[in-house]
Amino acid sequence: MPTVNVEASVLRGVLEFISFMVLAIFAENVVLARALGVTRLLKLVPDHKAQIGDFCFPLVLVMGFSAPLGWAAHNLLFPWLRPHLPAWLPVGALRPLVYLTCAALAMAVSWALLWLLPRRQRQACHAQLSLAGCSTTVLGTLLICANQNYTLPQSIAFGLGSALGYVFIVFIVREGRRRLRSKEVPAIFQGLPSSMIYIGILSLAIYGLVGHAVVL
Amino acid sequence: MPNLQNRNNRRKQTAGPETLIIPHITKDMLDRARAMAEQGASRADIEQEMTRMQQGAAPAPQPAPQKPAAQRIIPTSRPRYTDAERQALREQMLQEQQGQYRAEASRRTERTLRSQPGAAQSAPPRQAFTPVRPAAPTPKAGRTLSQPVRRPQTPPAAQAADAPTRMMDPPRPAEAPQTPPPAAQPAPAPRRQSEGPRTRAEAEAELNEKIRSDHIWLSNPVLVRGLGLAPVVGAALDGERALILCLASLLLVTFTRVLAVAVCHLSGNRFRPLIYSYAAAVLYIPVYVLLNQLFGNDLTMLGIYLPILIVEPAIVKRMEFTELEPVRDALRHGFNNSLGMCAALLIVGCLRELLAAGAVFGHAVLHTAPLPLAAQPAGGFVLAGVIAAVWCALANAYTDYKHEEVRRLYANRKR
Repeated sequence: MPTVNVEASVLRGVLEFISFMVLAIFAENVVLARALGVTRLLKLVPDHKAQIGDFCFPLVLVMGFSAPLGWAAHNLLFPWLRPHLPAWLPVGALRPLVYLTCAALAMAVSWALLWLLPRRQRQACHAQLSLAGCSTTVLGTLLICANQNYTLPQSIAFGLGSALGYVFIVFIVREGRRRLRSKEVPAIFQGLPSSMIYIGILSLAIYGLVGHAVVL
Repeated sequence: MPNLQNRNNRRKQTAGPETLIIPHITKDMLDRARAMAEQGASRADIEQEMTRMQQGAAPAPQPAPQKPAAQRIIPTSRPRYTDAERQALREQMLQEQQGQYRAEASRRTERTLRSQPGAAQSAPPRQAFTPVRPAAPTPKAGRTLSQPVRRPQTPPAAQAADAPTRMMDPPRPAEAPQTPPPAAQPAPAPRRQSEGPRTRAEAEAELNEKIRSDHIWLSNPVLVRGLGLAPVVGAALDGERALILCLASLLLVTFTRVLAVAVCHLSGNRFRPLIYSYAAAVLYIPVYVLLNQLFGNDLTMLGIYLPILIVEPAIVKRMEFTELEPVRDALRHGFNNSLGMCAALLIVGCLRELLAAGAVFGHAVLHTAPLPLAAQPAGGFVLAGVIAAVWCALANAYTDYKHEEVRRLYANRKR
């Protein structure tokens, strides 16, 4: 029956979408599995001026909008561009420039959408938008989607899942940093070293759960 | 004897009755003076009569003192000097002050030489103190004490504006009025820039600036400030990858900062995030071509970590600062930052390869792999954290030693 086939395909697509999001949140977490965005994470957690939501909400928007743009660049722009490039210029040299442009366009769309927020939240999110857009998390996710040859839904799901996984790790590391202020921690491990070791133990837990290393 | 008028309140009186001051007056003399004043006698007559009564009533056994001038109090409690005696006293005072200056200069010289033993050994023997005005100050002179030089006569406000932090100078002599100062009289030397800090606060600020600007060891961008952790943890799995990342970061970090600062000068320091990111992306093209020529397909080992260098915080962290640095400083700071990042990459990469494979740059060193987990991101995090702890402990120990050195050096100063 055609109705059953359509429903099954839609259901399969939804399940695939959710599975890629779960994959990006846990198994291939951008922070724990690939160490992307660690620097911004370590600066963001103890920064009481910048609320976590003010950074994470623009990050989710940018990663959600940049994923289809990245897919379009990988599947449409580069095949068209490759024959026109000189022999001495490999197409890999232009990838950061193109994907950075995708992230910049996503930042522009996100900047416009943030006007729907109340004034105080809008100003705070606008202040963090440039830091969220120009981060290794966004560019790294676009490059991973291109390297893995993900489809458009898979790219969007992986992008959104990576953003949600980043937010998830932000909250976990924030709680860990609060506990790592204990006097039981030796003085030389206070601050950056203890945070990195803590993230390493979390990464080890994810590695033990998945059972294999991801493709770097 | 009646209570006479208070002499301290004489200025408060306006045009009142005239006061006549007569020393050694008796009751008879006072009554006589009052009677003569009531009769309308003049002042000169009253004074003459009082003098006559003093001489007649109480003849002094000693020779009579000189007749004082009218309306003038001549104190007799101190001797009166002639002009020649005053000039001799003034010269004696100036000589004593010169002696104090010589002693102070010798003390400062000894203290400086004690604090700089190398300079004390290499410095030539000092000549005896000769308070001669130098022909012209030498601003490029080294950190040696010079003989005090009299500053040009400027108003106090101008002197304060010229040297606001001047201190530890010996007290300047109180110049006698109507007397030109001698040409050879020494005076405290003005503070020169080449002499270094003179206060503890200045020395500590200078030390903090040195620590902050040391981007290789004391303020390493990776192991101390936590920048650029993604390639260190994710890609520096062995020495070869670390070397490729070193070269890439050396070129990208240095020239991205220079190009971005130059463009920010043109754009009025606006759109910094986009300028920094696009400057790195544009510079990535020649860097990638160069690396592709050098390493070929080995670049694929780095995966996504080579392209994401363009948005690494070690490269674009500067976009968060509103002050715009000069291009020359940007080149220097960028190069120092890249050297610090290279040091961290090589240390972490070689150590991870040694622990994970027992080799360094592909050469077998150990027969077994002590810690295979070091090849994974989890091992990279833990190893980088341990290295950062040791690095920060050594850096803190060194900075504490330098701070203690400054405290001891400036312990005898008030500020």
